[in-house]
Formats: sequence, structure tokens, C-alpha cells
Amino acid sequence: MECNGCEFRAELYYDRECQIWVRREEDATLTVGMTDISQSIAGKILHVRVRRPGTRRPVGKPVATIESGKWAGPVPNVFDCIIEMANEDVLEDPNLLNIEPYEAWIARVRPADGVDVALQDLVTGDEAFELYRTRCIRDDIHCERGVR
Amino acid sequence: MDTDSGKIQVQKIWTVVDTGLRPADENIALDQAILSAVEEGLSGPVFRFLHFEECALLGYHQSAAQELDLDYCREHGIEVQRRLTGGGAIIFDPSHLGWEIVCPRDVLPAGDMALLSKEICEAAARGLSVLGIRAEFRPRNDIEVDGRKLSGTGGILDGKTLLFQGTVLVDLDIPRMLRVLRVPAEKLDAHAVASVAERVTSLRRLVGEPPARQEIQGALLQGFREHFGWRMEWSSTLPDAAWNYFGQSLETVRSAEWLAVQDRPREELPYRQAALRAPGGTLRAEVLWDTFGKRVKQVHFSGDCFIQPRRAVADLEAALRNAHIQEVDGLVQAWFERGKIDAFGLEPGHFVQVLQQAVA
Repeated sequence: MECNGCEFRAELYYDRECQIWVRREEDATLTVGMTDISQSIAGKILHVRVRRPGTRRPVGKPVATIESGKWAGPVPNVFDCIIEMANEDVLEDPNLLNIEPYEAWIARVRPADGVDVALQDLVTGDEAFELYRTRCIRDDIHCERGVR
Repeated sequence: MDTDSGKIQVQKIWTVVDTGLRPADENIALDQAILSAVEEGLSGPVFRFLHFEECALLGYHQSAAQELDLDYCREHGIEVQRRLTGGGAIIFDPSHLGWEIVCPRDVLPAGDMALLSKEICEAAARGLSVLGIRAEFRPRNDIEVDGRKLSGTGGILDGKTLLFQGTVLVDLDIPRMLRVLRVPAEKLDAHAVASVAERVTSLRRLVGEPPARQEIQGALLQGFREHFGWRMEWSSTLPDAAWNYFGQSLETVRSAEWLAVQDRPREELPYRQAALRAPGGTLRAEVLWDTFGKRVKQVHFSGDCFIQPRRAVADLEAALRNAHIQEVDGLVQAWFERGKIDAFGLEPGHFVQVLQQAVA
């Protein structure tokens, strides 16, 4: 599924602004990454910093920060969680977020109140696509993937 | 003003303020405080002029050990601080002028981050041109005059609020800068000073006696007013809401944890060089090489070759900043094609080859 060239994956969960995607893992953790929309707006990403494993990040306190074109910014966090691990491949080569945003995850986190509570405020499937599509059109976002 | 729910109705009028000469930690804490106040809807948009006691400022994701001569900073009382914004390390002294805007994202034109940078830098360049110089935006985030950088910029987008800031080099002590910041040079000699002087300029160098501080500030404001149509009014102080966040922000940026946000070792960013004999002459590349990310952090090209137009080399160096080694070939080709380069026998491949030799 896509809108304005921005890829959408219905099986993932999203925040309501569709800035991040979240995937449920079998070990009661969640994997967090940036959507195609976010990587396109950011442009070429040069730095990614993920908080140390074991760090607790309440709602609103970012799990990670990124930098592109001299712009720094947080990767938004919408649920209370503890950092389990960072994706070392992305730390080494942040441009992967531009090339394959849905494979290049940023961090794996353990929700403080369990997975089901964390996912309550996220959207998925058709409902998520409607928000994703609305954002693309409202903000006139056209996605481009990074190449090397 | 509508104080319903304790929040100010989004103001269309910008508060312009000059917060005076301050140590770096206070200025960075004020950045965070203003950002928080605007983000919480407790302040309208703010345009601030900044003045720093002598200091070295890292970009948010930079490592102090990699970017600065920390022993020299300690010995000479040069404060080291980390900015909230991205970009590279800079020195600041009381002769430099800082400017910044803090506002909701939707105050500025829609588009991606590159467009946002372009719009803001063009407004600043328009203002600086009022001073009788030909200031222009150079991608990705610089303002230059005739190919030499006069102003560097960087930003942070925190949710729906942004802070974007820049410097104006009113005067520049290049030898001092070379002692504090790491640049791709083997020795800090006259050659290194001349090399930087080819790439960076200052108002003093451009117009002789620099204009008075108020004149530069007025010119910048005129540029932003004309470019964006903003209404801007001077105030003697920041909004109260910003001061309310100041103490907590100061505590944060004074903590050891803040400076250690990124602490990669210096060994991961070595100086490398190579020279190549080519039909157009000898081409030399000096590189700060990021071995962790396989990136060209900074490169300087020099040699006895002749390249037209004169600014072409500076453009190439800017394009290659932070480039992954696998991107170098494409970026050099694009530079050659876009810039209508006459390199008198030097081909794009020569630039790629000498750079690859340097980092091999």
C-alpha cells in the first residue's frame, strides 16, 4: 500500500501522526522505526543516537535522536518503555533509514506496562492507512528513498 | 492576548530580544528554555540575538574528543558546550553575533527539512546583503559570500516546534580557531591558515571596519521581515515563560552527562592525506576520516592544479562533507556536471582516486 510514493505496511502499528512504526515481537518487546514519511521529510540521515540499554523513557521522552542536514530531532516516543537494544547496523550507517525504513529498525524496547497497554494508543491496518494517507495529502508529502 | 487555559493564543507578532553577553552554558540553557516555552504554547515566536564569552560549541551528535583540542580549551579557559542543534563544531567569541528563531513549525512554509533550511538561510542572506555584501545560501546550511562561508547554521525540530540558529562572523581569529577545532590539516602553520582563509570569511574582511552591532541586527531583521512578511517587535527581555524553564535547563546542560551525550574516541576520526600526479598538476586531499561510519567528515583539496570557477573546490568540499565513501563517486560526478567545471586536465576520477587513496 502507498500514497504519494510513501510505502505503508498494514501489519505494523503507528502513532497518529504516522511518524514512527512499531512491531510486536514474540518476547513481549516492541521494535521501533521511522516511517517512509518521516525519513523523506528528514532527508539524508547522518546521525542516530539511541539511549543506553536499560534506560527508562516515559511518554514524550525520545528513545532516539537523529540528525539530517544539520537538523537534530527526536524520534517521538508515545509509550512508557525501557530500552532493550539499538540496531547497531543503523548506528553505523544511519543512511539505512532512508534506504529501507521498514527493515532498518532503530531500537527494541520493553513497554513498562506491557505490550497491550503500549499498543492501545497506536493504530494499525485500515485505520492507520487512513491517517497515513491523510497526512501525505494534507502536508503534500511525496516520498523518496535514499540510494547509494 | 488570550490567556484562556493559561496558554497564550498563538501570536502573529515575533518577540525580538538581545540577551547580551553570556557564558555558553547560559545561552544553551536559554535555547532549551525558549524551545520549551514555545512548545508548551506559553510563548509566541521568538527571534533572539546571542553573544557568547569565548567558547567551543559542539553539534548535538558530535564527540568533544573527536572535534576539539580539549587540553588547549582547558589551558585557555575556553568553555566547551553542546548545542541542541545539529551541524559541526564552531568557536564563538564576543566578536561573533548569533541569531536564532524559535517558533511552531507551521509558521514556516511547508516542505521537508532541506527546504526549511533554504528558506531560513535565504532570509538571513537577504538581511546580510543589506550590509553591502553579496550573501547567498549555499546548500546544505551555509551562508556564503563569493564562495567563502560567512555564516553557519543548524536546527532542531522538536515535535511541532523548531529552533534554528546561525552565526555571523563579524571578525575571525583563524589561528585561534585552528587551535580549538580539528580541521583536515597536518600542521597548524601558515599554509593551514591560508587554506582556511580561502574557505571562510568575515564582515571585517569583506567591508573593512565591520558595521556596528545594531546595524547588523537591523539588517538581519529586515531580511526576515521581507522574506517571510513577519511582524517583529523588540522587547527588553524574553517572555516570562522562558525564564521559568531556565533554571532546570541550566542544570541539565551543566551536567557531565550532557557533554557525554556522544563520546566516541578521537582514534575513530583520524587525519589522512594523499597526493596524486595528474595531467593538470598535483592534486592533494587531506581528510578527517570517520572510520566508524566510513564517512568523509571533512576534506580539503589543494595542489598546483588550476580549477575554474574559483569557488568550485569549496562547493565540492561542502558536497562531500559527511559523505559515505560509496557516495563519493556520484557526488564528484554531479559536481562536475552541475558546476561546469574547467579543471585543466583533471577529471572527476582524479578527485575520487586521491580521496580513496587517502582513506585506504
